[in-house]
Amino acid sequence: MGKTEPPGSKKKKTQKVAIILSTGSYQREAPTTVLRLAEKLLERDIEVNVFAFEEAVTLTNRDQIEHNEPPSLRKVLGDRHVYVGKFVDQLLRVGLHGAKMDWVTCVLCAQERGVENHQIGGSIVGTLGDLWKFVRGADHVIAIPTYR
Amino acid sequence: MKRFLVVGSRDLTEYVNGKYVPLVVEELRAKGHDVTLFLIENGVIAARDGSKAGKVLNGLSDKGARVYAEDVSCRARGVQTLASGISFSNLDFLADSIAEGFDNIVWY
Amino acid sequence: MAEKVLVVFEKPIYLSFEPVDPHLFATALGVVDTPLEISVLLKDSAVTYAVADQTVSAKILGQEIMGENTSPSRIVRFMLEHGATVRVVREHLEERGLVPENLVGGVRVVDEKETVDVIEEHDSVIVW
Repeated sequence: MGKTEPPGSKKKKTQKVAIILSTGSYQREAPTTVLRLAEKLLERDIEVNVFAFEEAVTLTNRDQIEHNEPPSLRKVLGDRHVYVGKFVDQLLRVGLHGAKMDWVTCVLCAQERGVENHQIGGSIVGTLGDLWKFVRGADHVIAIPTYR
Repeated sequence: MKRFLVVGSRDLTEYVNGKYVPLVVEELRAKGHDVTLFLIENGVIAARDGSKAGKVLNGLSDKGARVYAEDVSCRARGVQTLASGISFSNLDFLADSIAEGFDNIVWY
Repeated sequence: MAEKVLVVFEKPIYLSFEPVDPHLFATALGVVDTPLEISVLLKDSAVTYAVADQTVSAKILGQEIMGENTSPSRIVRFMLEHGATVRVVREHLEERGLVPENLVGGVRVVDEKETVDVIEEHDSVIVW
């Protein structure tokens, strides 16, 4: 893979990024990209505020487990696979010792899906008001489209 | 002149907006802006050497846009060679670029 | 700080057991409840959100699933009344057999290339 340099002039140092995510995992790649990018931004001491909207409220369902794969497929799938909530939890913990990530789960979306009371510890159940405050306070807003 | 980061995460060869994302990049360049197009997820499918969409992306590069395809997404899809004018890149580059600051980021 | 926010809709959602597309809901809340200057761009099939005559209703086992007389165009009107700018893309209207006369009053029609000007004018862009 060729080496690439970041483009152009260094206009300003970004301190805060808001990410709006509306898709759940297990069918979509977007949450993976968001978590990968969040890790990189936190490494650069950039605060990350994620607003989990719609199906994304299931990403922080605390009842996710590493389930066993069907025996007949283990040869090609392995014994089990990881679940996404584990990585959200780990990224939230990174913030204890550096740039922090806040993860707000939309209360209305969580109630609709029955996951309001099933959130992992670091997920803050909040409102759409939090979404717009994240947007207003951010140096950059990254909104991931729902349909891909 | 402003600095724009356009992220293409959708399959430009399939999605109805496959023509719109290049249009946005081209028009922003025509207005004299600094434009980076960063392809990720299924967005890299269009970047494969030999693809019809790769020629469109090459055209954007000719017009002064920087066009990158993310390495992890490429490896996942077996994209080993990119169309002319497109370079491999990675999330460190994307994060560095965001850290340095764009005037606007549009994620498609 | 983002002050001018462009919100882009591309694919319409109807009758999803939400009173209206939740992204439209969230955007309207941003328009009415925040100091942000929020503009809406309707493109692709989401241009239908601006069509004036919409009756969104369905019954299952005789029960209406829409609790209120809500429709996307009603939300579009609401946002316009609260100062938002709503634009639709001319080419995408025409592709779907629509003309500006079919739209809610106050909605602006722009050419596809002009949408780049609109992007240029905003601090942040949200594509739902």
